[in-house]
Amino acid sequence: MEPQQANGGGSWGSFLKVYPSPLTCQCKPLTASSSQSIASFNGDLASLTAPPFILSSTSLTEFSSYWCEHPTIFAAPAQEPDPAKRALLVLKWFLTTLKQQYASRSEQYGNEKKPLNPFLGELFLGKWEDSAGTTELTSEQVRFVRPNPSTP
Amino acid sequence: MTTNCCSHHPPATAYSIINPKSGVHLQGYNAQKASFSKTINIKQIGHAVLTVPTPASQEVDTYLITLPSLHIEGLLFGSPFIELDGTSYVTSSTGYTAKIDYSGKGWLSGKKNSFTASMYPTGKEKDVIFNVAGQWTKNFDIHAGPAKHNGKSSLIESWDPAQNPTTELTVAPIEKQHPLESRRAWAKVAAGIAKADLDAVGREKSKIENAQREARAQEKAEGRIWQRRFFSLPDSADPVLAQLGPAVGLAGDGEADKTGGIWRFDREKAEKARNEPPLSEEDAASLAKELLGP
Repeated sequence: MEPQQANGGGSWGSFLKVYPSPLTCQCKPLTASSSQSIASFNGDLASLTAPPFILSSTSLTEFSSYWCEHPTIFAAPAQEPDPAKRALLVLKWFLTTLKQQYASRSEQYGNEKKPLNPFLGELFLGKWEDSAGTTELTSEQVRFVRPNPSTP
Repeated sequence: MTTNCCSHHPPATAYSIINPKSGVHLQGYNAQKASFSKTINIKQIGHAVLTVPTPASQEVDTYLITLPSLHIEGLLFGSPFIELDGTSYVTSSTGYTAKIDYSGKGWLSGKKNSFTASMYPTGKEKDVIFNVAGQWTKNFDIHAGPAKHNGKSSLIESWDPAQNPTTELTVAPIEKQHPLESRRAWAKVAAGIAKADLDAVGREKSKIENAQREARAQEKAEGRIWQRRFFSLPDSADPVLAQLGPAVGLAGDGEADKTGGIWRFDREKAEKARNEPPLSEEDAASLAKELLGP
């Protein structure tokens, strides 16, 4: 259980109640001074200014690791001589990654939180060591949009 | 003044995962575009490419993987979670394509996070060779043939995540990381979040944002662009998308206009980065100060 949860609505729900106006058009004029909320939302989730109780201290660059939390399943297709069965093993691997990609954070923290918005050039490097040998991860932020566009 | 928000490129993360022993290599890039209608809906932009050396020959299979779209459920109940929707594909140079349909509160099972998948010779969707059904958060079953014949005799395998523990990723200790490595760069912000110290979070985030803004301005003034360390934008048309893209409705430009290009792992750059001696403490400190602030 998150410690902040106790002191009143530590959730996206209360965030949305603060900013209840529904978005009909994503293209709203932004003034130089506006910090972005749901009400002036340009479609870039990472650019939302979120209240601190839904902040995660994990950056989006780390999410790349969700592709390979079962390295033996990842490497398995290379052992299969039959092309159809090989393609099936790839499908199986892909399906096993979905839980990591999309549900592991809410299982770990109790709910989905807003990740840190990576800066250009941010790196996340690591490796897995198990019976599949060593598997190497390289993740890099290759594009960035500044959170508060104050210049055109 | 109106910003042209709908044509801008959202932030993009590129990745490469290599298992040298088997030669299996995954690479891709990912950007997200969100919209708000009843809840937060997120369209994932980008795709992944998996290459698999085949055991019997010198051939290498190439798989093109598209990403599902998603939305956030449970917002008003205070416990948001991600639900997948729509369709995604895994198509390949082997001549087989897999189609995955995500159905949320499944119309088949009535359970959340449901999906069905079928694999068929590319272009012959009715000739199902294998099918998979279940919940992507829990169990799923792989059967031979089309779903209408599913039974005990067609079952090939069941996957249960509870029976298959994940392998933990090892990351270098923070003091040994490059200054631009995520956990080192964000350490002070993370410490602020852990203590729920909002002033510290705001202060430390601003330092990074300001330093980044200055770095971009400096580059612009000097006519440079930021050099990506591991990834490049190839000049020529992408051969994987040209070959496999049409089968899954992915244009040859791979939505490049939305992510500022098709990012590919650059082995030469990676080799160079690998062979660089580690930064001295002084160099690391000055690089951090320049790009992440004081």
